[in-house]
Amino acid sequence: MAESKTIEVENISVTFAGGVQAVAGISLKLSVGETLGLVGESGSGKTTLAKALVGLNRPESGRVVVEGRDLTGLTRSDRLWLRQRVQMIFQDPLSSLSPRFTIRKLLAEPLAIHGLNAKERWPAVLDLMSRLGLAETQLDKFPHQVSGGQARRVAIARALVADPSFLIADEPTAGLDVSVQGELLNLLSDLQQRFSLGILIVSHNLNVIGRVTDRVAIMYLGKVVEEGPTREVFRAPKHPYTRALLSANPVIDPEHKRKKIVLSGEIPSPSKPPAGCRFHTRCPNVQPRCREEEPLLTEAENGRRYACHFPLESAA
Amino acid sequence: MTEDALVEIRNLSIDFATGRGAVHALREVNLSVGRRRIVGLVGESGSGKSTLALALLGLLPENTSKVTGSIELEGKNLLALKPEQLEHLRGRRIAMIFQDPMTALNPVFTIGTQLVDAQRNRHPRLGRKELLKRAAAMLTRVGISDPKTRLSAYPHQLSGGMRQRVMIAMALLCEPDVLIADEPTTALDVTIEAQIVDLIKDIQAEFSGSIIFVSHSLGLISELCDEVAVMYAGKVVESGPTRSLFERPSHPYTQALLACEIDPDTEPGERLVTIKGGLPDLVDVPSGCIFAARCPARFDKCSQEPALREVAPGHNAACWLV
Repeated sequence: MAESKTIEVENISVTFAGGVQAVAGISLKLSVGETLGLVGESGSGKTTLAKALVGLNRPESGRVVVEGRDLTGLTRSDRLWLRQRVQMIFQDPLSSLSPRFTIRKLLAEPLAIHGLNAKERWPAVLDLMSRLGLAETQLDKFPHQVSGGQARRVAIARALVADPSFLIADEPTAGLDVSVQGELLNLLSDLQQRFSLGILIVSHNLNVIGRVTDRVAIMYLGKVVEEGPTREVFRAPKHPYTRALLSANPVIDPEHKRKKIVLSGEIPSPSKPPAGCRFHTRCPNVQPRCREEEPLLTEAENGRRYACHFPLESAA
Repeated sequence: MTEDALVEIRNLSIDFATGRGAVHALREVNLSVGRRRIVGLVGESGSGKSTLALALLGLLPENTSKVTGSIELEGKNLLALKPEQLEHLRGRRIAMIFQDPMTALNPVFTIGTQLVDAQRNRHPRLGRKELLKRAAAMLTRVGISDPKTRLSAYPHQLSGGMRQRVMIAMALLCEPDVLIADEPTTALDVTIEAQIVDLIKDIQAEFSGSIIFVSHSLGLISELCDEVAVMYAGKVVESGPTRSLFERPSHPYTQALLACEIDPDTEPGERLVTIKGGLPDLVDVPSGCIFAARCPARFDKCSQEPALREVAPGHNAACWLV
């Protein structure tokens, strides 16, 4: 294939009926073999953005380009092609699996939809199942007959049977106990290596993002405020919102050594975002300029980008 | 057992009837909550922490088939009370903050009406006007600006963080001796969670009662609580002062839980720790140590059930290795 194996998002905006601009001009890139984390609080637009990548939301402006093909004005056949290249796993696995299909049927359906030869493909499906720790004896069970953890794996298997290049995972660990959360994350990283997937993980769990992603984009009210290699962003955040998020993340600290930065105020409604910098109403470092002029996302060293008039100095 | 315990739970066992037989949700739980203390209950799904919270409120579900042991509030056994006596205690001496304020608040009544109703049990003699005044003052106290306007608002008109503040205000208006907070921040964003945790700390500083804080987040527990009880499959497997417990986690389950926490500072690409296996069947509870089947340190003796033994002052763990 001549085209680069990437998903490129160019300046997209998504507005819902009622005028809520959930995503307001975002550009991002995801390549195969890479894990990108998308972090933000409720209403920041992270799920809306993720859905735009699988064609479930139509941007009103901007473009989404998957492996060289522009998704703007998708035709039916484009859509089918897209679904094969980019798959999504949803937050609640059980509700994303039809209760009336056996696991066998759930796994065979994507092959039929994409016109793949099920007989030829079946050994690969079984191989995928064993990688996911699912026994063949479970093939004839219904989703409600397996445990929650297994249902999650079935959802992942179903996403991967048609051999996509990209996997979008919306809060894959939400609601999981810590003892099994690691198992799921280990699994995703194994699958990534095995199938050289490009993975986008949407999460509000900073520990998860910090541990499993290569790059991270921090969203606030429909905008990316900071992006870059995860380790560097976490070590030395440039945007005050990133710093506050990292600081609010509960960590084990029985001696209370860490000083938290607790932001005051509520997250403004995305239907009426503040003028100027969208974060200015809660920013501890706000200056008059921030209320009037919106900072642009600018490139910095080491492939980092941030949108702040007064970026934080790296801690010495 | 502390001297001035406000709540003393002794040998509490609770069963639920199901089609498969009795589920032993709690087994011989002992817990002591001192006055002005924040006690954390930590454990994964199925550990029994919510059952314990409901038992304190006298709100056990209808299929509860067996309750033995005692829950004493200042020496009075709550389990021996009649339903009407319990009702009298709820909202006066014991109050609860629920996980999801959207479902705990009534959507068709204003915040003001709900805050007034919550106080009726506590202040039966005060009129609506007086109670509204108290409600407004409490909203200011929990950090809600413009309380007058908020009193006439409906729950859906408030943000998630504000709704949780309303829930906290409602609980505090009852002036309870015991405040139970069941995962009060799970539905909230991290920056709002930090605000609520700060608020709970502030309240504790001027509140004469005790707080029982139920959570699955060891991080939150370590930041907020004075004491911690770690629960697994219906048992308290380790308990003690927060610092001692985190410095010297002594039960293999506590150690495993701590190891599962993702440390963002370690190298990416390292395998994440998990606890192999699953919860034991609580209908047919295995004999011996409840954690044995998943324990990396299991040995012969684990076929007998270990009692809680002291590791450090006030810090106990139920493991043969301590």
